[in-house]
Amino acid sequence: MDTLSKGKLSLDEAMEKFEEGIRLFRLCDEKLRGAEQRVSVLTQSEEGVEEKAYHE
Amino acid sequence: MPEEAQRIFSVTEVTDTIRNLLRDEPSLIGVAVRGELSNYGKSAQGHCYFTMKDEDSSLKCVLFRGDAERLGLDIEDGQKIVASGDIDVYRPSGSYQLIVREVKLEGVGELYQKFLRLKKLLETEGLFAEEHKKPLPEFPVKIGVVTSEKGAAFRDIVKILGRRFPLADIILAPTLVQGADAPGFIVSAIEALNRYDGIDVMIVGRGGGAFEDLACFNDESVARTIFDSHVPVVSAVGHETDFTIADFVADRRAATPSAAAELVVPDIMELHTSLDTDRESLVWGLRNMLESRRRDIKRLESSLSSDVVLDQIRTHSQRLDDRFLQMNRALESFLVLQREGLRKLGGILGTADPLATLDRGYSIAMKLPDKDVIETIESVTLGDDVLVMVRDGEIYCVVRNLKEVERRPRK
Repeated sequence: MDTLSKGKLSLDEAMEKFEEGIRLFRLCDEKLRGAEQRVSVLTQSEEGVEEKAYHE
Repeated sequence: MPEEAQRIFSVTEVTDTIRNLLRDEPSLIGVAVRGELSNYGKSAQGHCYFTMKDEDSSLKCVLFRGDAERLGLDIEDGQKIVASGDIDVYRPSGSYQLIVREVKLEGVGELYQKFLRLKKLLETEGLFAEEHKKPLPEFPVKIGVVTSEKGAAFRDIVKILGRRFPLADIILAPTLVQGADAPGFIVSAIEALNRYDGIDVMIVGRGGGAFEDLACFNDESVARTIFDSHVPVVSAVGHETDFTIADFVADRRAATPSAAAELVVPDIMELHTSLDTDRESLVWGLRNMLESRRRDIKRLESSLSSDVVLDQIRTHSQRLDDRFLQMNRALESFLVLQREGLRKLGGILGTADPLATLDRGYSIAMKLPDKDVIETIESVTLGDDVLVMVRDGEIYCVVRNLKEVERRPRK
């Protein structure tokens, strides 16, 4: 009976961990899918370093 | 001498004879000549003219535009070279010259010596030591690139990073990657990326080339800048076999710019796969856990009704009975003791009863009218009424005299 009630406690924890895991999975998945490459070039000028988009 | 006896040649005929002699001489076909370069110049048409010299002689040379462009030479007077080609005669000036097809710089040997000396020096200083190598980030967000903006190297890098890991931003710090000015440019490009916010890793390199073309990656200032870089550096000088100083000092070395791009980022397809695997194992993990809990409950249920538990309950309740009996017995004997104690106490109390003393022949005197027991002579004065209690009645008296008597103190 004791282990049963203890088991119930870690079951709640397990559910929490599971939900956290799924949340992280969604986050990573969105990041991977939403990725779009950005390329820029640093140029030295009188005022210092500038950044502009790169075009081939 | 009769005129017709001697054949008279034209200048061209003589020149052509000489020309043919020289052109047909096997040792002059594909000849390689060592000498020092002088009078180097380029014509409007793009042909290069120069003279090769040693202590005693000189040889005119021409390098036609096509060959000059192919060789892409960066040469100047005083350079020791080995030029290969064919000897020919230039008829307008009646001079012979070497038509150059190949040029090798003799200085390369010295350059290589310099390379070895620098490598030894930096190695001794510990610039190549493994403990200084910084680990590359697993998931870089910003990737710096130090190379030529126009070169194929950068296009390759952008293409591969875009395919493998489009999450990462690419920041190019453009630089020369060839020639005497290149080291200064490379140094300031690496430094600029170190000052730039949030660069996780940088690729420093160029496409392949001859040993002397890669000289800027064998430069001491470039090596020290790479060593001082806070951002991890991957060298990518495009040549499979030889190492440059930059390769030794960089945190990682890639054989080509493309290889460097592969090295610095994970493959997004693999990430998708491993992410899916993670989710699967998450779901399975929870499912397995629930399943095992369910089995636990079933096992506990069935064990409750089993003989084992009944046995245990019987054993425990029997033990309980035993304890109960023991306690009863203990209580009983305690009560017996208590009862005896009480009886003894009663006896003691009996002897303390003041009236009982009367039975033993003593009397008690009390002052009237309040019946205060008289214990000392101080309690009464002359003329007080006193009651004396004896076994069978009371005696009424008047105090007629008081006398103090000393007695032995009682224990």
